[in-house]
Amino acid sequence: MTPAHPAAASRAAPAILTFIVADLMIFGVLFAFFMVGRQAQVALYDRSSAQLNAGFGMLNTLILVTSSWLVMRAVHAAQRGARRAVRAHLMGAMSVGAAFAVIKVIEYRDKIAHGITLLTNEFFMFYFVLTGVHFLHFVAGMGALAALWFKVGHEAVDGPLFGWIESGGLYWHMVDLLWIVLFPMLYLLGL
Amino acid sequence: MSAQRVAGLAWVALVAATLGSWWLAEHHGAGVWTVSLVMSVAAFKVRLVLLHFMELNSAPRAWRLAFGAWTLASVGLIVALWWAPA
Repeated sequence: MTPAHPAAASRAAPAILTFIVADLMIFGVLFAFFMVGRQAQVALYDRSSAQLNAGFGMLNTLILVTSSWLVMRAVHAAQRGARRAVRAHLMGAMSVGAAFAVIKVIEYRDKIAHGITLLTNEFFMFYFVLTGVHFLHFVAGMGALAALWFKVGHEAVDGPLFGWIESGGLYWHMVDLLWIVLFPMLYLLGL
Repeated sequence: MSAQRVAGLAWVALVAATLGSWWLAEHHGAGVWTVSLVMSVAAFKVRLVLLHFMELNSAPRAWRLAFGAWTLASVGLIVALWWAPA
């Protein structure tokens, strides 16, 4: 089945890329604030960072890159018009992605149980805010994947829906690549 | 090599890089250079996602440059400020 959309190289870049660049720039500014804050209180930041579970952070990285790969497979399947494969890969991406939320909740609950909140010190303020804002992006992304999964059940994947699948995929990759930077910055600098 | 295969290889590289840099950080394997190395690996991982998952290499060049610049600036500032004295 020939896809309705031409090869990627001859298409204009999807509009979502503009949003993604803007979002990345906002996070970039937050990274800068964090590192400047750290510079003024290195011992506090490193001491606090050491209280995070780097194994969990690493696991979450593996989860997101795997979920990202599965979404990539969904997009490839959509290019071929393979509707069932698209659904299968989207479901896989969401299932793997759900594990990210489980670990996040475990981490947050563990911190709070030990009396550590975003008011504890400047590092933990950044930790909860940065991972929290990232988590909101994650939730939005999961919502988008779920919506796409439903739509693919009713529409051809190589019609207008393809653009949405591709955009949803690009957004999900952004969630992934943000965590790729956040994880070492928050969890590994003090080790 | 098909785009699918490349993406699969990119995933393997991402997993290996994640495990490797985590191990390095946990064992402080490169001494004072550990953080710089770990962040460089992070930049490499971002690049893998940009090129092989987001397929930016088939987008107009300006986008590749914009995302590349973001990667260098973000990782660069983290590394530079880690080294910078208070």
